[in-house]
Amino acid sequence: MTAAHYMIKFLRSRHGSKYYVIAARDVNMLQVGRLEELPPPPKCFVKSLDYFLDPLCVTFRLEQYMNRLLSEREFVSAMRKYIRKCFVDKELVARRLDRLKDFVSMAKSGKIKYPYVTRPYDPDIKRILAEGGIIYRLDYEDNSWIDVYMLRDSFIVIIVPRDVAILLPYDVRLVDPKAVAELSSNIVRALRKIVEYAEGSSILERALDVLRYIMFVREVVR
Amino acid sequence: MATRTPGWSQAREGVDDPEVWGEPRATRKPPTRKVVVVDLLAKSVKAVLETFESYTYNPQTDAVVEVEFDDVGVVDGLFRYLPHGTSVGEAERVILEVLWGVVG
Repeated sequence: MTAAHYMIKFLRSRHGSKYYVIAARDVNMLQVGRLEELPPPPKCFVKSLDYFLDPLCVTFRLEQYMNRLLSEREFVSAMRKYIRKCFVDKELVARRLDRLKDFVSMAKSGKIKYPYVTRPYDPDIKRILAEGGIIYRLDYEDNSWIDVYMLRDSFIVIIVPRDVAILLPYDVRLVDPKAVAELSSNIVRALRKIVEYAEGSSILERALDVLRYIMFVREVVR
Repeated sequence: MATRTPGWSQAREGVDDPEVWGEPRATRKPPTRKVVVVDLLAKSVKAVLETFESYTYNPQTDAVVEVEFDDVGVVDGLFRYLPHGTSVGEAERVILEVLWGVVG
């Protein structure tokens, strides 16, 4: 198995420029200068640096790790050191370390861990949306909606205005039951609502198997 | 003892009272959000999605925006997707231009 390479890099994007963390198996992918030019996951995973670290605590010392290829060991050790330096609160440290673990685990395996829960403005989600597809707006609770983006190999559920995005595959075999067990009850409630709408909908039909499987797993682990 | 500047304090008193704005707060309709698909190349609105509506967007030309409307017009907008090679400022200009046409 080819190992993943990591880089902390200043990238231009349509929203401005900032530091990102990139992980890819193909080193050539790390040479681009614009965020939008990077391929979507699972070929390349991207997070903004502040997803892991507090930008206020990043000092020039981190510069030694920037704009150069890092092995998994180098990358993880640098990020761990900075996460512990940036946050005092143990819970915050644990949460950021979990993010790091998930990021590295996906980059290492070259596979997305579904359900992939993130924010709609996550750089990975933005690049997946570039595939194009059908947007379907559904009614949810008071003053909130669910948008489902039916793409080629996966679908994205966005809960509006809560700003949660859930990336899911159409293939049930790709869903990780452990990740399903970790979903918050709010997310499960929203997905259950989509099941209700999906029955009899020609657009959402493709998502139904995976959504039903998630509901089944949640019933079992309860 | 605290001192007050007469002109400023009067203006502040007006702002602090919700009834001064005309309609009581409770009866004002909360803003609604809609998904708007804008063709940035043709500078036209392709779809304003109500609930249970769908649209196939073209990733090469279409911007997908979450737009907040109230009775008067566009309150705010959030980009869900922008085609590659488009800057936010450029897209914002086109979207506001075409949306004011739709709302007005």
